[in-house]
Amino acid sequence: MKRSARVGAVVGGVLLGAFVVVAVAGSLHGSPTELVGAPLEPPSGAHPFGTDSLGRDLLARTGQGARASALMALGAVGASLAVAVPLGMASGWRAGGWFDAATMRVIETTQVVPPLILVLLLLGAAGPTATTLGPVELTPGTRIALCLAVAFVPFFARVARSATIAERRAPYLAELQRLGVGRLELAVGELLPNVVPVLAGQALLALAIVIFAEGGLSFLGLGVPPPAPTLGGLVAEAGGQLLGAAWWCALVPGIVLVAGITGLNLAADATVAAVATRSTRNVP
Amino acid sequence: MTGFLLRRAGALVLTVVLALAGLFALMEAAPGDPSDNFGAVVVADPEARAAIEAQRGLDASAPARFRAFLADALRGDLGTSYFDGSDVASSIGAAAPVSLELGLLALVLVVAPGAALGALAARRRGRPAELAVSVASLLAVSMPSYWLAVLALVVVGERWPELVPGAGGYVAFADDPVANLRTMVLPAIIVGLGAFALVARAVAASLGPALDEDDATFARACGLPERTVTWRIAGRRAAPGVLSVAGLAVGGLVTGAVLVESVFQLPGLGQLLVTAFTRGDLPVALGGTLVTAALLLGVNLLVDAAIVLLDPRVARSRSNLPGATS
Repeated sequence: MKRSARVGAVVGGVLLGAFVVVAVAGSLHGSPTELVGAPLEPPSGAHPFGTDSLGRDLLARTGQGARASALMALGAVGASLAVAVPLGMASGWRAGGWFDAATMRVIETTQVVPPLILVLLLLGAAGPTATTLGPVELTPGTRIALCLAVAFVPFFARVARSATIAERRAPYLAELQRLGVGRLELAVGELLPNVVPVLAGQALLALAIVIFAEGGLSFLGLGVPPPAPTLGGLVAEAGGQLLGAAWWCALVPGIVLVAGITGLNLAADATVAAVATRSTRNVP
Repeated sequence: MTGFLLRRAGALVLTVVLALAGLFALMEAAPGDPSDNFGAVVVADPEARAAIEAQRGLDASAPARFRAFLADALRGDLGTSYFDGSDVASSIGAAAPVSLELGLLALVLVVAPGAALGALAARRRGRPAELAVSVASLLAVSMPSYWLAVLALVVVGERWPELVPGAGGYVAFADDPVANLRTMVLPAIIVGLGAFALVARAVAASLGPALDEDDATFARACGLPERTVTWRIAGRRAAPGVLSVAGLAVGGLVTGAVLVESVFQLPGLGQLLVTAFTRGDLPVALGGTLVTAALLLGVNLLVDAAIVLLDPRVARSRSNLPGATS
């Protein structure tokens, strides 16, 4: 790996570490909804991030928000991968076949609007009331995570598909098939391990985008409803009240948000670079 | 060339019809009934409710309503708002110029400089300039526009209130061009940051290797100035790679507008869409989405045409339609 890529990876790791520390420390610091001090206290020993306009501790709120963002990102990306990877691999296995053609057409159709607008549409269609999926009642957070997951399926399916197409050309797959190895075994045992590294970088990038998008939805008032704190919601509260003197209300949650997104972007870049180095080294 | 573009346009029409069907299905799947949103007097009275449903064609079967929806959409009739009964197409027409101005300002102020910085990074590989550009684009892509917008409002708005459009403080360009531009510059810069990063990275990634190609080396050996080598020789080779992110960049501008317009109270498409989604006003939301989709599809078609003009081989290989792979 190049030196600049290594530095990037280290900086990304530090930023992600800081995000996790804030999430854990904030969750341990106290209740995010209890009124613990005077409104708009500047940062101090008792309240390291200060208090908000109602006198709630901002470290506890930021920490809870960071934890909620991280959980939502992991859930949404995990659910999306679970659907998209089999879909993309099935598509790429017979690239150009009818299944591939149909899947790609549907995927292209969902990509005619930017992902954020797709998520807004899905949320709009899901309606404002509590949704039930069969016997399970979905909390607002789960519903938003599911909508984000759906919006990422086209993206991951495309990546999995093109990685599969690239790997399908390798002669060993045809040889193994001739030896009588089953298709499912080939797909899971041979193809998947070669698709996963390509997906890893994209999944990290998607985590960054989900954290950004979840913040955006909360910011627009379409995310997890108050009083549960979210990073985007905290920024929106600060903006709504135009707290010129209380700079920390908008600055601190935003910095945590930026640390998380930057860290994930750097980690994604480092992973992509590492995978590229690995694959060039393997080629004779 | 023409055949290729016709094929692309044909695929595009199919995509548009599929997208419209998807939007219609979403509207059908949404809980509640369109007539729930009429005035309370109407909702409570079954007879009045049935009359309005019949008047608006809401009592027809789903396929019949889809045909009507499709025909209306193709004629430019996007229905009326559930919320206040206003015409969706004219609301969009009123909001579009604001977003268009924001987007154009972002292109000029942020995205074009992004391309120039990307070219700088490509020419100074391994030097501090490249590092500076990559750090700048990383920060631009990592700082959420809604956070920057709030900071701008709080910090800049506190000291120089005339630079930000305050609540209801939007001034139309036609009324006062100077005041309009003064308040639109800051939002436009924030809207453009995502596209800035995308374009700077794409230019650096495509132009860098192109400057090392044999034709560029040969041109240099012949004594052509570096400026000519960059723009005429390597630039031509790098252009398709840069153009292929244009759709994403425009998508980024749209996303930025959606998030930023509501902070600065700019009465553009983004604010229209967000208001529609918060109120559950599906006709307005769908109309706004359709306009966005039309914009992106149009940009993609133009990009396809430009790529074919630059490299006619693309049109001959049927399987390698841009966008069909990866």
